[in-house]
Amino acid sequence: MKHLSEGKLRAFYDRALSARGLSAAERGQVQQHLETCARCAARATVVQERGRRVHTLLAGLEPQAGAGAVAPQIARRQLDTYLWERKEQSMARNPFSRRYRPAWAAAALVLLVMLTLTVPPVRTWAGDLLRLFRVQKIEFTPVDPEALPDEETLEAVAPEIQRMFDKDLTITTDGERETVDEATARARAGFPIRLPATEQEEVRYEWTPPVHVAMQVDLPRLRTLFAELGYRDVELPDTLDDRTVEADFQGMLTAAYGACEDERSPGGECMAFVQMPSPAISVPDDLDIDQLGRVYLELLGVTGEEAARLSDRIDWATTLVVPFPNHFDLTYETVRVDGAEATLVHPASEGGWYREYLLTWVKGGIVYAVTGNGDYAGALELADSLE
Amino acid sequence: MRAKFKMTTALTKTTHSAATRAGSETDAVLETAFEEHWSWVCETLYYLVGDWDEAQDLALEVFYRLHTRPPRDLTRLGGWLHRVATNVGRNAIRARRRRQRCEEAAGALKLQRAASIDPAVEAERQEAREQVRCVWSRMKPRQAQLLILRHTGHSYAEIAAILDVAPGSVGTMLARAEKEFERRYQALEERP
Repeated sequence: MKHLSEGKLRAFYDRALSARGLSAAERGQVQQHLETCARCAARATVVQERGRRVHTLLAGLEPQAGAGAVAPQIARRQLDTYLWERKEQSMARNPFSRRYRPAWAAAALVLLVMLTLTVPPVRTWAGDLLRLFRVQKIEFTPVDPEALPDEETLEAVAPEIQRMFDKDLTITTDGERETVDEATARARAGFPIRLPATEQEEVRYEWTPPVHVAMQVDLPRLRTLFAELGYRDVELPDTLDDRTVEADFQGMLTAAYGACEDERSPGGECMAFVQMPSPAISVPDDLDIDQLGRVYLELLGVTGEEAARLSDRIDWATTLVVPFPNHFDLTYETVRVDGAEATLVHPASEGGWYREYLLTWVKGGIVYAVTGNGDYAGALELADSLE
Repeated sequence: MRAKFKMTTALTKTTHSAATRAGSETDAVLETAFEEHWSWVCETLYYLVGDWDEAQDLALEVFYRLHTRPPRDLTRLGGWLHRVATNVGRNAIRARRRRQRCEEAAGALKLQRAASIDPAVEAERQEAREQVRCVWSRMKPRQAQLLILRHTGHSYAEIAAILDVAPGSVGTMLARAEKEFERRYQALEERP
């Protein structure tokens, strides 16, 4: 008989628990071997003693007699209260909650609209000549959500936004999102897939196929919408009417690590790592991009002076500026990972309900992001181990 | 001393089709889950945080996740709840530790013990418990879960079902987990 592994010895000493872990015949063989092999007997002593020590230490954590949990029926009622509290807190503190979703939708809309805005009236349209933008950098700009249109206004115009999207927005996808293996992911991607050097447990890959988005500007509808949103000072030039802005997403690979029940909303010990080529946005060539950027910031509530200062610093042709609500339980910082500058968004304080984090950076024309729940140290490690 | 509670094996055999469940069926799953799992989820979390009030708050978070994001496969609900409870407990310990690092917490307890008029037996025990929780919370999730399952009296077959591994590999995994636990514990003990 070969020498005994620590695992087999562990199962041997757990005989009462290992009816299916080690058969009676195997236990007999182990016993016999231990009586004749001094090396294995010594190893067995180490395993047995270590098991006792660990067990003794863990025994110190056992519940004391006389105390216990409330009855399940009471706990079930407590859950109803808990659900209500969570809903309230989530509505109040989660910037991505339903309450604030119209604000984000409006911000996205504003971004699209601003790409077609502020065309100097003396210029003429240059036919189908398009200017191509690629995101090379992502910047977060703190904005005060209170400066955005209020919830009531956004709810009121939501149907109009929906109608606009239904009529003027065309989204063309090249297939469905699907779970794939690593080899298939690499074959589908068309760009170099990078994965962590260290082996990860429980990894799942999901491929999102390319998407083409085109928005045709319906100027009268857009003017009505802006007026209802309260942006009465914004002047949309007549030449905007019927122009088209297009965005191309070349596909995205999501790798979900850990015990993810749903990799799109990771929780617990789950992390999702996303990589995609920088989206390409095509707009008419004669836009005043810097002016556009300033207006975009002003629409997001940044004051005129600050917007001008920020706009001068930002290269709008290569930078995606993401509005960041500044009064929630969230903060962000610049960190260095994967040899590049990255932004880490994480809860401002510990113990709060909001626990999600986001780490994002752009390198070599690829946008990377790691999202998860809880401790973000794993995200930094993952980013630094990419190969 | 052997732990006094144990997840009932019947719980891991609840059968529901995730594809067909809806509304009332989801409520029924929740009701059943409370009846069958609430007590041991609380007790597991007590193990990890050492306080009944906190353990019950965290257990509510576990059932909240069951309510809002139930697992696709409810045939292994017990295993899913154990994994979520372990994660929630680990995060609670880590959050507590980030406020005061493990080493500092243990050091503070040493000082408390030295300064106490009492023979400080309880303080010493508390220090040991804090160290154990500190070490446990920093282990790999699966190893941490394995140690608790083993210590709370689950058989190898039950552990294998919950962790979705072959029963024959439990011994090896357990031996590695105990070795890792002891290595980390000794490293913490040897800190000045």
